[in-house]
Amino acid sequence: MILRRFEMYSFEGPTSAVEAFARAATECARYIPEVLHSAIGQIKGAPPLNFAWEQAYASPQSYCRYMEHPYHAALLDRYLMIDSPECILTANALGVGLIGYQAEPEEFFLPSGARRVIAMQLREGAEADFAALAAAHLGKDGMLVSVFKDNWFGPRWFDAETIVDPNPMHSHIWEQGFANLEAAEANSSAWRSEAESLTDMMVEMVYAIEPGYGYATSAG
Amino acid sequence: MNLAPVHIVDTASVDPADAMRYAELVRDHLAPAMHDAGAPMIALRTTSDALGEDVLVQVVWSVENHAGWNRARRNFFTDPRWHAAWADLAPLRKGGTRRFYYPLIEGAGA
Repeated sequence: MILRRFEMYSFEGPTSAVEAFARAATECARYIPEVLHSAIGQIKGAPPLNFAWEQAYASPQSYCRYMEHPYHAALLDRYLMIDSPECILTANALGVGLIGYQAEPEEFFLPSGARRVIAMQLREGAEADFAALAAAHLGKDGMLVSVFKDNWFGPRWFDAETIVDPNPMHSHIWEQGFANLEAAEANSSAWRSEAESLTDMMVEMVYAIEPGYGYATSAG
Repeated sequence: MNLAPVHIVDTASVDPADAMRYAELVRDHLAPAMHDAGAPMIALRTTSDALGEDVLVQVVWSVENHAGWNRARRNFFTDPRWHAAWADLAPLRKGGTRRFYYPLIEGAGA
């Protein structure tokens, strides 16, 4: 199993600062080799969210090496923490700053293309029905990836073990993958009404994948 | 390079009229939360307010290493006092930097 992690941000500030963070995220795996499957994207149509960073980690130990690395503290957090004068992250109430799940890399692997990531609060008892919905749409209407998992990472953001936040806003995540942004945007109607009937709320983020340093060309 | 101890140096540009208020908020509200989180304040200083420009208020926090900073970060981020302090401090800050510093030559100054 691998630890799949998403950071979905609303940035506001000088273009140069946003570009500097994008460069830092894109280059992160060059300096912290424990960061796997690292890619960024510009989120479409989900204001104020406008920036996605997806990664993965082989283990909680690997994740802790990322968390404790000077590159994380001194460079990435320069743009993310309110106590940094160069912070460009704005507050929002969407609860997707850090979400993620456990899976085999083959489940989410996509060498290029676009994602739709849906964070949701699932209705009580709806897990099996939603899992069936996600499975049924894999391979249909251009959906190349369909992973439905519980938001395992959200409560464990500190070390991928300790539950720091016992009540994350989102209980589950549905990650979809497509060949390109047009295919992702075209695929949005067949599942929507059933998905809405199984959830209390959904936050939906679509972006084209911009691979970072070392972005894998195979799942392994 | 041995990255320990770590000094986190926060330099904020502040209107001279706000400098004392900013420093008092740091000393009385932010520093206690940071201390309890594991990152005590070891310096709080300013540039002159008689230069006709914004002053630079500099705060230095100290932790034993980056693992210690990561723990402190979790602790202060889950402390309501830290969030309350920054709700008051952030509007007073006009710019600045945060940088992480380490000893370069042993015995050549902290």
